[in-house]
Amino acid sequence: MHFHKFEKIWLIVGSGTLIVFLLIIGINAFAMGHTPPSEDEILNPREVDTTPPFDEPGLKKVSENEYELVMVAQAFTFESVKDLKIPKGATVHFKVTSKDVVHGFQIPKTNVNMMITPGHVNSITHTFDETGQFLILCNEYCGVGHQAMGVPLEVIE
Amino acid sequence: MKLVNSKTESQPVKIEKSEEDLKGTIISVFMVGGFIALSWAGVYLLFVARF
Repeated sequence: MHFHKFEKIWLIVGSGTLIVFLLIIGINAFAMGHTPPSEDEILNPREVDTTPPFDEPGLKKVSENEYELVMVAQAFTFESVKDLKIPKGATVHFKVTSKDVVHGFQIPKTNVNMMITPGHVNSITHTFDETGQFLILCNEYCGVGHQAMGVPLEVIE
Repeated sequence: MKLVNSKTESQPVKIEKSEEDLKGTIISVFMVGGFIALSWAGVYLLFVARF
């Protein structure tokens, strides 16, 4: 089979790029533990209020400068967490589930961005290195009050 | 009905080797490829910067 010289070049470059992309995804997933936010932890969305850790939502200190923030999303609020204050440099493990429909969970200007699917424990981790006001918001249209669904988060010294 | 013997009647076809001009094609391919690679690198750097 005859290939034009240029065809060989772009086939090699194209295949090479594909291999590089797949390697990066593989290293991210298997060596660095980068997994999808919903993993495989499930719960009954009708029994959120009685299922740990969602029976007691809120910010909990896990260890020095490490926190777990358990939240329940529900149209049109991130229930039960207010006055969120996190010390600078703290690593926060977000654990969020939904009682009703699919919601979004995004903190602009950070990598925190995931879907909140009912029946799943959706988790993501972020380290807040800078002080300031942040906003956790729903970025997945969830109904008539969607635009009001958000909760402020402050990173303090 | 007489069967045609293809072995005797067909003439060997001479394949002319002519390299097509693919210069424009390779430039277009690498323009698209470059756009994809640059977009990917931009998104990846943004992700790393916000980590």
